[in-house]
Amino acid sequence: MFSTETIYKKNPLVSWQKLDNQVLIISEDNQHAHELNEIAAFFWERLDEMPLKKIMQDLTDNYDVDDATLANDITVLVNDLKNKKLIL
Amino acid sequence: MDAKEFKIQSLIEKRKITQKYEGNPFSICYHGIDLIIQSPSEEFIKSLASHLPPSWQNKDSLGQKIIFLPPPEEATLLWEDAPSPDCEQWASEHGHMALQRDFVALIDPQNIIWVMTPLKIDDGFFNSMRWILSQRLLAQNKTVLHSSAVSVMTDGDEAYIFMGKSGAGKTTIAAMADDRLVLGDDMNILEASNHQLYIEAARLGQRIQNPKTYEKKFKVRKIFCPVQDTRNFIVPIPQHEVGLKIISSMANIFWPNQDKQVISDSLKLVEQIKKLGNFYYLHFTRSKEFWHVLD
Repeated sequence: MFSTETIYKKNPLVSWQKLDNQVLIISEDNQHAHELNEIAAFFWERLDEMPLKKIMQDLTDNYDVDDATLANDITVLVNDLKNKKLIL
Repeated sequence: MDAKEFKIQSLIEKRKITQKYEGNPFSICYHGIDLIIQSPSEEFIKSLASHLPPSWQNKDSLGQKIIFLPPPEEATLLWEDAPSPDCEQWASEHGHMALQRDFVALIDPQNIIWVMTPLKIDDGFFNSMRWILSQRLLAQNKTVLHSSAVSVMTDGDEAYIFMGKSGAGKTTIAAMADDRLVLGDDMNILEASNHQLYIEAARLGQRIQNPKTYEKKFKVRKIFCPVQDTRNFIVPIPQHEVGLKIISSMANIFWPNQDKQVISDSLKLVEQIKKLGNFYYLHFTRSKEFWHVLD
């Protein structure tokens, strides 16, 4: 688990593009592509600017999702993005 | 400078001195990109002229200069030792260098492209041309798509695209086209233009080349990813997979050390293609019955 006060940053060496409601990310070495669904894309776009806590609040304000499910999904997402070195 | 850079640079310098390449520049508009091609081999230039549509040839063109030189044996050793089938490319003090399985190339500080490859209209030539053209086509909202493409009707101006990895069935589908026109069975040029996707056969090396489709752009009706199955049916590709499918079929772009601006421009094109295209999985039985389920 990690602190919800953390401000995660996008890895500046990855390339990304919004595709409708999704986000397509190309890894630093250009060898792997990752496509984020709508909620993950909402999360991605708000990185760099605000702590996790604020992003999660925005998500609950915009999507019909309960706190426990959201916390679990965000934990999985952050770990995945960190493992793939897409966020720092 | 590492040993490989030094080797490439010195081989090209040696070839520049010993080969007379200055005569008979061949000007051509290759898929919309103006090029001036030179080579010490008149036979190579003649073969090239006969391989490409006459209307592409433009004697007044001012284009990107490319000089094709024959490789000495040391050059073939360089690409035989290449660790990956992908194109290895990097910036050096002599310019931008590239090395793939059958060519080495240098874009020098005067922006002249030097390519060493066997001087035949064959894999080395096509691989080097894909390397040269793919990035330049982006400026025209075009990409080289690893795909087969077949006209919807025996005549008309619409086509289906079939994309996917090697072995997915692209060529099998093209071979079952009957009297429909096959554009390319391996490489096509996809263009996003005027709120419409267009596809044309790429003159970049493939088995099926139909003269009726040369220079003709077809409107794209649907784009399929073939999946071999026991029944014939189509299902829409989920939206969150479409971008990945497009990227995995874009030839010669997503390579290590690729310029980040090229990656960024490519992603913008992916966005346009995704917006304009209709994408489906095509489950098919390797029999011609599947043509009935496409619409």
